[in-house]
Amino acid sequence: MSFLSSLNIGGSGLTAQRFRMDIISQNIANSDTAETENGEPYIRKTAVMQERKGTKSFSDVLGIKGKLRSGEGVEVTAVEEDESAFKLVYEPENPAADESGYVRYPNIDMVKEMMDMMSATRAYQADITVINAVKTMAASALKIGK
Amino acid sequence: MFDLDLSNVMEKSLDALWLRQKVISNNIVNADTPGYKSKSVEFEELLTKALNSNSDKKVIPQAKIVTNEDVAVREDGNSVDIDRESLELYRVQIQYEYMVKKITDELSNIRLVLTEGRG
Repeated sequence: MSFLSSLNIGGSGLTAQRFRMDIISQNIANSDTAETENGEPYIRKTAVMQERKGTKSFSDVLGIKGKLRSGEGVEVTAVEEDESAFKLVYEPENPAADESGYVRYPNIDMVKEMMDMMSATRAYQADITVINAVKTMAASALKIGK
Repeated sequence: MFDLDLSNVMEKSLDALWLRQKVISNNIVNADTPGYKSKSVEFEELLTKALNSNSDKKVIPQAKIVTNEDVAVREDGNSVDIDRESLELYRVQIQYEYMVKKITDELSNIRLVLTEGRG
């Protein structure tokens, strides 16, 4: 039991949600990027989150069951590309158009990104609440005997 | 000595509450993690059981982390109910504050005796 590790749980949430927000911003900013460095349209990216497990204890290594430990927060383990199809738009005058006049635009759905952004914002707020709770409890622990 | 058992129980309760806070924090932080299952801390039931046991030597139980099994799971395999967790977070905060108050009162009682009522 340490005050610091509890704060780390909330902190890891803030980091993960902020990273997720970065990815969403990148998606929105590139929603019209028909051509990237490799000549392909921009591909929608998503952050993959996973529970961060704490360092293994002795009984974990020995495989002794029964003492389930609390996790140590959350982390982004990978950024994956969305494999759904690109949007085809008929724009013959566009230099990026193919021979039949279609331009391939990124597979980004603005509504979906907005929803994700809202969910990331709310999660960020929830993490702040967690940190405040830890702070309040630690402060009252310091008041024992006063 | 001074009612050592009671302060022991209170100390263990504080530890259990702190652990519960940690577990709830972990649940909230993982509210968007696919496949994460919400966890909770068992302590009060274990303590009641220990206090009601007939053995001479009553042992204060260790708080236990359990994975909640019979709760609704979302489509992504996550079972965190953020409203419930927020509520529990507030509950644990108030309980902790209450426990600290109780310990402080206990200590001030001892202090009163030590100073023969003049403290």
